[in-house]
Amino acid sequence: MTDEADYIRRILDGEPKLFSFFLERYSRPIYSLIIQLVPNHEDAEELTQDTFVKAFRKLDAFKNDCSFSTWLYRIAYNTAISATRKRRIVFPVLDENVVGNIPDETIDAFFENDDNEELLQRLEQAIDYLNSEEKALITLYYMEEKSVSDVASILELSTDNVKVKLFRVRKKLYEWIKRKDDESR
Amino acid sequence: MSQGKALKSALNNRRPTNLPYGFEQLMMRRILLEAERKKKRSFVWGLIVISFVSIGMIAATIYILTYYFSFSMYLALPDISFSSQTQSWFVACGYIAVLMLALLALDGYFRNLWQKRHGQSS
Repeated sequence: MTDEADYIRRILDGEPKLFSFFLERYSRPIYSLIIQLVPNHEDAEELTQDTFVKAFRKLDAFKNDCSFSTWLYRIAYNTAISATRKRRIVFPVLDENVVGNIPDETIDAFFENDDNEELLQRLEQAIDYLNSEEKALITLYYMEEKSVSDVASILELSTDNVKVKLFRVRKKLYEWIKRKDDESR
Repeated sequence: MSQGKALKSALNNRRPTNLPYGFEQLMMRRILLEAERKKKRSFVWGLIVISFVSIGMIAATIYILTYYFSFSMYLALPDISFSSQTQSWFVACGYIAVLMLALLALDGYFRNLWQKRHGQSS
């Protein structure tokens, strides 16, 4: 994005007011990512602010080896991870064989159905049990509609790793919901 | 990979993604404060670096002159005596130097003023 590079150059040349361009463009998506990783709205708002202040401070260290949005998402992710490190939630242990044996088609079909309110509620509960990296993965890929390579760049993983992890998260969620269904019967 | 419509809906429903009203203005104030701090920090660092380099250079010069060239200030400088004509020359030179400094300060002041106005209008 040439206009972004131009804005960065001008900010570094002493026009900090132009940073409002990035605030307008990225505050909502950055907040959307952070709110999925932290427990409450206040923390998310504060961490969003911290993300932008850090980005402003380190703006001169931004190299054009990735897009500005990827760089900013990376700062947001690392900021949120540092804040949540103390508060670890352990996902219920799932049988690796069971998770591995679920056919991909079953899971694909399961997650395509967004009309079932009960399923959506279960899914919301299940997402709470994911770790921060897994939440970030699905938020960036499904909600923010980032490409696999962008997600890989933000989370500093390989693209193959991202694909594998996305499949595993979906299987985990599927298995968790099925288990809850069985328990309630 | 599938679109995961259910996942997208669940993520959207799970947490509101709207920032409070006035967030960007509040953020912009923080950024401008940070910019001021950054400017001051770089000025102070510049001053520290310049001071250290200057002190280092002076120390190195004194060291080299004293220990390598066995230079002595008392021996090297002749006895200074001022005639009345020389004294008036000194006064004139001092006047010119003060005038030059005042002009430089004015130049710096007007440049700053112009840059501020130019920055605001763009």
